[in-house]
Amino acid sequence: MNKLAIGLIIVLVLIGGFFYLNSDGSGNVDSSDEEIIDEPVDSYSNLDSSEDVFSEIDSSLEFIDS
Amino acid sequence: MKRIFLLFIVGILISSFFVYAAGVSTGGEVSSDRAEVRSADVRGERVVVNDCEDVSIRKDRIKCRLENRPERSSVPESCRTAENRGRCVALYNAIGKCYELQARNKDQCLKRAIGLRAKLSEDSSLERKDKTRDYVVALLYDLQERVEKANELGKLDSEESAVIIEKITEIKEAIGSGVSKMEVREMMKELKSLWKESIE
Repeated sequence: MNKLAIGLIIVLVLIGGFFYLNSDGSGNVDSSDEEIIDEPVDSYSNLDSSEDVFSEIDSSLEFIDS
Repeated sequence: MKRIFLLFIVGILISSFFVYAAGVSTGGEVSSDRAEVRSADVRGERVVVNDCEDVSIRKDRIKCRLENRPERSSVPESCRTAENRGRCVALYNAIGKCYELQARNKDQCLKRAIGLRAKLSEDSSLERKDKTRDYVVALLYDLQERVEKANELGKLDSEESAVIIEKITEIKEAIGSGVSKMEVREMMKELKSLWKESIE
């Protein structure tokens, strides 16, 4: 009986650990622990108009191969 | 008594499998709150109306979604053929909330969700290349949303909207499959051309 109870606890801990390790919770796609530096909003790109977005795509493509 | 304990454990194991499957399944519906994507374009990609899902030609499928605007959604169109569909859907979920924001706040939200610095040139992470691909996909979602908005407002008909969204989807798929920037630039030229003809 005791062995069964211990076995049950171990199984529950393993299942809990499995989901903990597979979850992120930060909303980040990248689940690494890398810290995102807090930067002022002014340092980000303006995505106001479609031209802005096209321009941002153009400049970003420079970094997709390297 | 032993049987009860064993049945309990087996029950937990079986139910945990379904919980896991719902989170990463490539074929399942995205049910998380974070999956609530307001983008009309995004909604267009994530619909679940059976009638539209049964349409075999992509452009017609997109057009069907635009015209019927189903409330519930499944796997995004561009994730259907993705090598890692779970990751593709996860990106969708992570950036969905950002489209409620405007201008620089939107960019901040997108980059933070993806894990990028404000200036890509200052990002020294080893994953910058992959993250930038995700970021470009996110920007393409933004364009797609604008197309759907124009369609909703009656500025663009469903046929024209579907043609542009199909092109955007092709580019997102190409980026996800790892094509070079030169190839993406060529596709972007075609998109810009379509954009000028239809929207501007």
